[in-house]
Amino acid sequence: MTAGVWGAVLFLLMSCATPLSTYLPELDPIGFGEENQSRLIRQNCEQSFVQGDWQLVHSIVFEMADGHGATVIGVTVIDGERLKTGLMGVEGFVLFEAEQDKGKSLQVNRALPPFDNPEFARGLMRDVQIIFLQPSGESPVTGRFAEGEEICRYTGKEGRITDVIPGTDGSRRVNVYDADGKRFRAVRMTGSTSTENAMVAETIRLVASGVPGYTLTMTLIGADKI
Amino acid sequence: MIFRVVLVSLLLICPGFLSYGGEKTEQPAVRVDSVQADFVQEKQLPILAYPIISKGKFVFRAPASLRWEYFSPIRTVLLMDDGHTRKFVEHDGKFREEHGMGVDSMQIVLQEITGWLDGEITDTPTFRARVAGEDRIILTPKEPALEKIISRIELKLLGSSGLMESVTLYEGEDSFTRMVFSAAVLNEKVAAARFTKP
Repeated sequence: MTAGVWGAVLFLLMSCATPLSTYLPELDPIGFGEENQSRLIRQNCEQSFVQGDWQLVHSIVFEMADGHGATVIGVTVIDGERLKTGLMGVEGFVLFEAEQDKGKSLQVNRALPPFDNPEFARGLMRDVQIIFLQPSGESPVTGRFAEGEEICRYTGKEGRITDVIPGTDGSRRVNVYDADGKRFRAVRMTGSTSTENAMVAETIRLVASGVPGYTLTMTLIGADKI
Repeated sequence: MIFRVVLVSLLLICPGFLSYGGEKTEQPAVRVDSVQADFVQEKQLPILAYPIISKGKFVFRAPASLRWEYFSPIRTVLLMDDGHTRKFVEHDGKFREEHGMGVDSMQIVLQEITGWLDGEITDTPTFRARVAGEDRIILTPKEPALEKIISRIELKLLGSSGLMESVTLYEGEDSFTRMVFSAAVLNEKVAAARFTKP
């Protein structure tokens, strides 16, 4: 195994300590008397996530700041409250497989070194949740940015804030900020395609902060309702 | 225990010594200079509701050159030539070389496959071979470290013909990758560049 490359991927997936220059933007809350508008925005936010049980398969390109990259196949299975994920080489070798019930501990079924590091598993599951699952926690605050974009702002555990910005063209952005208001994940989903009466993003791009940071570009291979 | 192998009509045939039920059978040897075949790969995992299907083609040239190409779902080419394995992945219509992330694991399997195609299925430094029933040869890793990646490889033969129908790599009981071969062409000239360029 080329431990150096795998180690670099692991390091990049684990690193999010250095702040990005992007901070939590001001939000103009939906005011009193606009309850219907607020409900509509919340509905748009909810509907921008896949509803029901799905198996989603993507090609995933890891892009690292030093120019290295690798392509794997990623599987995400949303099965009720259970989230399952797997990474495998194109040739079929499973590099990582894990599942987790909402709010419960992570169960790693298979992890080849160095992906057997618990921090990698937690980091990967966190990214998968950010991409595919509606943020948990209290009901979101709805509002608009200065440019007029409508957003849902969720406040989670330990002060983590997640902004969900559904686009009018079926796209969606998700920005996640730490308790200090510094953004550490930015997700953009574009090119929604209609599959089994649902809109599923064709391309997902996740940018993670850190030194040197990493980018995941996910292209939809298949979406099947289960 | 020795099983000689050659791929024909998509399939790998065992022209030399085949042992069924412990009885050795002498068959006329077929010289293999090259083999090309299509394959359909099925990936199954406990977490999957539906298997992942991939399609591709492989090209072998004696003694140890191999081109392992996927057309879908991701266009990739694995090349093995002169003992070196390289992997290329298509991005936006252009191939880009990648390192790590499974290339090394695949190299182990590619080396075994080229060994099967060029000569014998037998015990190697990496795998122990045994016959299971009339139509299967099972290879198990000798090293526990490799066993974590591949628990066993099953070569399924087509009846007693010596033709190979499929190769299944087991990572665990419920996790496997099965390749079923078809449309093989034997001993057709293959350009050297097929093993060095994507």
